[in-house]
Amino acid sequence: MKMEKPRELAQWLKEEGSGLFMAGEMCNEIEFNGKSLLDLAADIARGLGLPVAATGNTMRGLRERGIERVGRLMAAEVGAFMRSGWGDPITAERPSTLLLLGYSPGVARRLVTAVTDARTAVLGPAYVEEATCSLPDLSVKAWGQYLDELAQAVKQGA
Amino acid sequence: MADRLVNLGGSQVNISKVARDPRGVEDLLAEAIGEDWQENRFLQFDERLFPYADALDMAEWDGFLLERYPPLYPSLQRECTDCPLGPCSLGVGRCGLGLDTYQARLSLRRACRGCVTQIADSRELVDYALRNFGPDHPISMGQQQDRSDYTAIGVLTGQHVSCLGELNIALSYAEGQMAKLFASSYTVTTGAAALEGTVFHAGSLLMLAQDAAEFVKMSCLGFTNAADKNLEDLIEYPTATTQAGMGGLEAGKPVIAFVGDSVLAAHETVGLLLHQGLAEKVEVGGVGPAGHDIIRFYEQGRLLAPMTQAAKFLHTGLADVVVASNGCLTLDLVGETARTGSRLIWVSPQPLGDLPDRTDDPAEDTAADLLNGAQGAVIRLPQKAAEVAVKVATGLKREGTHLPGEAAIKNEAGRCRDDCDACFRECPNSLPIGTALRSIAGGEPDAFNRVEEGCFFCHRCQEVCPENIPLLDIIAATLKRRAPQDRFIIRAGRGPTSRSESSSYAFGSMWGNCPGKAYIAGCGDAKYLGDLSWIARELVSRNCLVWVAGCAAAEVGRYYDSEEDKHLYQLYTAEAQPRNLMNCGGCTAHAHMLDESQKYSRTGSAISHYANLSETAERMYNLFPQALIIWGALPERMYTIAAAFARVGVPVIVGPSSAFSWDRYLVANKWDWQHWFVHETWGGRKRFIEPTPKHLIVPVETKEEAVTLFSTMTMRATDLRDSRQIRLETYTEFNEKFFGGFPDDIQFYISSDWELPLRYKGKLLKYLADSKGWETQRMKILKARHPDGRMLTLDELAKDYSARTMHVTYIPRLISQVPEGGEVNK
Ligand code: SF4
Ligand code: SF4
Repeated sequence: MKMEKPRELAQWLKEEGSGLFMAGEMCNEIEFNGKSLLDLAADIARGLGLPVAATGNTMRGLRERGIERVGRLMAAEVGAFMRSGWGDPITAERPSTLLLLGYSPGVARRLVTAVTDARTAVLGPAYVEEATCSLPDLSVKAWGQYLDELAQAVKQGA
Repeated sequence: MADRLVNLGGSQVNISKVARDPRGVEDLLAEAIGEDWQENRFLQFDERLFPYADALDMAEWDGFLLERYPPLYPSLQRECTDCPLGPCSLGVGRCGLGLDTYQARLSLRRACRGCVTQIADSRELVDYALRNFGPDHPISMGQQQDRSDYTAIGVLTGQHVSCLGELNIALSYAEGQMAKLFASSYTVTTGAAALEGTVFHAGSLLMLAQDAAEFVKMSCLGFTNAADKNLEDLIEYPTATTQAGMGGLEAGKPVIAFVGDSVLAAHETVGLLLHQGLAEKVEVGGVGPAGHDIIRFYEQGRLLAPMTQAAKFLHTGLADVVVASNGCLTLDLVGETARTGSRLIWVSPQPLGDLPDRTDDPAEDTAADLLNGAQGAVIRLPQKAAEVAVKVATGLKREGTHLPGEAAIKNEAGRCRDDCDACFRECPNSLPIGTALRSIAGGEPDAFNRVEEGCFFCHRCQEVCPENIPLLDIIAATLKRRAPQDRFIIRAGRGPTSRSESSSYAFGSMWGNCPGKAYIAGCGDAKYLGDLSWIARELVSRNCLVWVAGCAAAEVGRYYDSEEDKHLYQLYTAEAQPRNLMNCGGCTAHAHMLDESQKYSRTGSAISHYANLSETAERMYNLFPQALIIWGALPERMYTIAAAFARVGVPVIVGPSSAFSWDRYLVANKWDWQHWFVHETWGGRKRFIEPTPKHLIVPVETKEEAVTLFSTMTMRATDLRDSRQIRLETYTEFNEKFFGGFPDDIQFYISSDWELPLRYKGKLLKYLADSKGWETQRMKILKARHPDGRMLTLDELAKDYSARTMHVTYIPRLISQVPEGGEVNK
């Protein structure tokens, strides 16, 4: 499902059950006019009240941004944990929805197709048709604006 | 079939009872048993031999690995078109093929492609050697090796090879096996895990083929061989004086660049240049494996670029003559040389584009045509290819460049659209291409440097650019501008490791002073220039013994210490001891890393290696603290190399982000504690253990993740106390440094307070108490939490959840058959 509007996506995310936010290394690499992708990741996860799986080197930065329910995982581990009963203390329940931000489109496609029995939302700048829902193709600038609006929307309760 | 009995100490071994069908290989097996078996092991265990092994012969071991680390497949391709019944959308195909099995088929095909290019290269070398030296020509892995030293050939076939004729038989076996595997990749319909066992087998065959190539290179072509040296000569062997990088090329001299696997034409070319007194007048360099090979026999040779940079290098036009063969990576040689005006000589036995086959023409005629403007030629005889290459290089006048200058680049950059970034979305390394272009347009001419350094020239960005901006030209022009500064010093490859050298490492590393052996491989940096040298330095400076081979072997040398005025290879010595950095050589030298590692199963546990992969691998997995980091992997060959290492129990970490496109990970769940157990060798009791190694083949995003994971991947359930302590120390240090805290799974790896690293002991005890609920008192652990929730004393924990220093096994037939207090019945 292609989510053209941040508000629509915020609504969808709010309605999802137990979720896990995955923040990948690209969060450390992208800046939009003074705001980093990691800032936005932290804002969105906080707005949704989700625990965060910090993959790549995002752990320290997320803690510095005040995210408390955060644990370090490797991205490929999520698929392994999901198929065999979960267990990671980051969240007691096996997540029913995964939100991915900070992965290249190629990596995101692989991560979402490696998990079964879960819904997935990819918040990258390219449409990922294998995900349950995804942003459309966006320029870097438009992507930053989209995520900014999404962060606002989830903060306001969509 | 009559029984054949072999005397072994006071016992007799009936060959037909230890090998399924020994017909035709009885002498081989009798020799292996008589010379390499130990009576004790024969009496205690159900010892077997698997000469010229099929993939399924290893099922007892492969099956264990794949149960512990089940394949996880991202399934991007869900439609099968493998047979006329299709296409079938999976689910389940009309032939019964399931989605996972289809993914395993794709995995096997990838592994076969990786293996078959190496086998083809090895075949070229072996045939050349047979023609020039004859089948009786002796071959050796070095004077300091004895016949009990390991090679992949001995492990898979049972054959100790000592001449070219025997090598030919071993390689023929690999060729036959490859045909079977390739067939399986189209016919097997159920059983993904079993099919992944055949992927492992492709890896083992690749190692065999690499060994075959190395035998020829060292025994017939004069390559470096450390196992020909005395121990005391190895510390600086070969000396760290080799120029690497494009900046080493001397301006004004013609350049012959060799690309691909086959080193024969390079060997002939160097011989010719030396013979004609032209060595000072012509630069001879290599890209990828060819470069690593050249510097093992020619001190003036240049190692120009790794395979990740090969296409980009060709696009610069820095080479006057490109001599190319099949290799690990398919390159657009015809297109690139047409663009640059470099002359192309193709030496492999397959056609290439429209290039004419000039193998039977006189060298003078072909050279004259190339000098007069012909783009290239196929010349399948290495000697003739060398003649033509030298004539063309010394006679060619090339002027100008097809690449855009600064003003033209700025002009092109001005067309980039602010509302697009299709290139960024498509780039596998997520390089900020559009942003950099717009910065160039805004007056920052160096803005593209970061893109160029991280680019491996996959062409995707240019293909999707709606404005048709010549991005590849801009990238290559940026590289050409950087080329003069691209220079660093490395140590050329050394070849194999002798038994005495390995034994001295075994003794020198077991006192808690070495976190483990790190193997580093890969096709070159793939996102950030310098990642590989950073990884190597982090590990070697923490006392790991670091082995490198393939394209990564040069790239690790990029690190420069300005205070010492030295590059990494000049900072660390090169013998098999902790805190050393050893370059084994080019792509075929990956086999030396594994051959060396396999020695310990025999040295330490008296496990014969002949035709005995399962036991060898089990012992390696059980005991030896080692892991492989593959960084910047591009071609299928790395996929297959990873399979080879994984199969013998060496866990593999692969990165950075492009590693996710391998589309098969062998990963486990460390939190599922009942998944992790062993059997005691004596009695067979099941024991639960900590989850280690956590994964078998796993992708990571960053170099920091790679080294941190490495520090747990080297832990083994049977670790000695002091060895565990230094591994815990490295794991804790990396976690704190890169991620700002202690690892959330460290409790799994601690079974006594003596294992706690001294510098973290107080803090770790507090962490265990506060976060994991352990009972501690001052500097002691009183009670630890079993993963099932019970609080246990350390003695109870050792009985219930540990196998420290124990003799354990994963293979049922290796549970001792001696009844308690009873007699051996054989
Ligand atoms: S050619 Fe280089 S910059 Fe372009 S998409 Fe490929 S890796 Fe990225
Ligand atoms: S695809 Fe072309 S136009 Fe679009 S951002 Fe990249 S370089 Fe600019």
